[in-house]
Amino acid sequence: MAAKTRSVFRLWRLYALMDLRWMLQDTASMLIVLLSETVQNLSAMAGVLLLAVRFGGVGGMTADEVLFMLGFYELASGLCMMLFGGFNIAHISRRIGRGQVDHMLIQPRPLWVQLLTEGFMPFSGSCGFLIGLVLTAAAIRRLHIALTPVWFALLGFYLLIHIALTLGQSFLYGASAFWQPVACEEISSMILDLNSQLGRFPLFGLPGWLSGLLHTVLPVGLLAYLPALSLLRQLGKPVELGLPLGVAAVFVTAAVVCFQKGLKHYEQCSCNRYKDMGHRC
Amino acid sequence: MKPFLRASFATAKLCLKEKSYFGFINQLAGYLLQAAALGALLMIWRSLFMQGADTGGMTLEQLYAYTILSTALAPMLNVRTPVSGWLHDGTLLGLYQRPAGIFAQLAAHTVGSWGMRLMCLSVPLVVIASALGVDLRPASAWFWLSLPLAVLQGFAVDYLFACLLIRLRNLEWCVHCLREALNALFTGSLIPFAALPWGLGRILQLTPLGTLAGAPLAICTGLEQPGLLIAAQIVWNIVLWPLALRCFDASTERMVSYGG
Repeated sequence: MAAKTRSVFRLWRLYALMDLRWMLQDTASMLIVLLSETVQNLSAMAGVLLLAVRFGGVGGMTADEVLFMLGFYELASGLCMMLFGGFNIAHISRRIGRGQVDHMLIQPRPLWVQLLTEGFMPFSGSCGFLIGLVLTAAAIRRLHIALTPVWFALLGFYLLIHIALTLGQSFLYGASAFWQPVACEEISSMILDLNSQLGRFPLFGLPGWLSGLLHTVLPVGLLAYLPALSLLRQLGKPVELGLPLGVAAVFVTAAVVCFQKGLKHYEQCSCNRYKDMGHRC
Repeated sequence: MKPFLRASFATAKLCLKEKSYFGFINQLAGYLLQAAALGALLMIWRSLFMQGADTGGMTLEQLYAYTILSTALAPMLNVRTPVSGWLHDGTLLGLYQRPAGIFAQLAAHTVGSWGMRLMCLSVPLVVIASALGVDLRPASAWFWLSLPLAVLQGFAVDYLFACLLIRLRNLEWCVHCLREALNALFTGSLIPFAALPWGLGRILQLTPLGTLAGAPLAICTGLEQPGLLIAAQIVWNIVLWPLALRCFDASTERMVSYGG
């Protein structure tokens, strides 16, 4: 196990170096990538924030609280993309649907080590994380939140929950690409897009059934809204810890089971999408 | 003119009938997710009104109609020809071998591809919303002029983004991200300009991106007076079309495709 842990760190270092070299090979491309990432991240949160400013708050939150919620979302999703965004690990259905799991199965590394390390891009994928960091810090300052070790532990807990829910959903639905490679190639992207679209909205005032749905079956409320309320100390203890942990555990377990089942199917049937000339069909 | 129209119509028909690359299930799942996102957005508007916010004269019905029409008419308010993807995979080069203009072929393909979405998502959405009591009838007849102007302008904007893609040496993902980001905020497709603070909407609604979705939707729902918006749409069409044609022509020699 110690050797595997060492190899994980070695691979993270390797992927970090590769990411840095990719960034430095062409200055113009690097600037364009950074610009587009920055604009995308800022624009995604600007809509809700502007609504909050215009209406003096939205969804039961003040404008500063909305800023905190959006900052947390950017921080958590940025961290997830920084750790797992490279080589379509977070969008796993693309790898599966394109028949690229073959490339992973022939590597002299366990599959879980590859999935854990291959998506690491600390330089080119850090825009969202850095923007989230700045926004969260600004909101903390404006809201005068008392920063205690317990608060930081809670923040770390919710960051992990965000990552577990994002990857859990991506892998759970993405596993369908083992059986329907073409039709389900983009299913992970669709789910992540939906999360990104709805995860930034405060969900206060929704009917009970819809709120329940958005905190369990389609857990967009657990990505930023509930964590923000908890970190702003507006929730009771059992809800703030139990619900996210339970839902994340269900999604991760279901994802692991379905992914393993799909992998067995893949080992028997494979998925040949490439023509001899290199085009994908 | 007649053979040109016949060829364009045939291409559009072909595109409507053809099986999409990812298949019908994928398309259907995409429509369901869009419907779910729309439902959640409508609920959020409702909660905004429930909290008693000062909406500056906007009614909940207007916001409902704006959001529903934004989803139902999305392909027309945010025109996406296949040019960017086809440039990347090499399909675009094949269009030059056919006896028809490149813009006409792209336009025909685009209009044809709207059919499936209109049938599977837009029409059911409009029917259900109307049955539930949301009035989607245009508040002004000028909407029927504003919509085609927005579509026409949308094609010009799309060709300009294609030129940008060619200039950026096929950094397709970056251009895609940039466009999605600009589209979400500056076209008024997600949040009406009238709901933005500091009078931002007054400026944005007259910009080349703001007149794409914001103008027809605001005119249709009665959020804005049509005069100024339609004038801005006409001006931007006059400015952007020659620019798009010139840029595309200048970019032709720079096209590089990968295939695969």
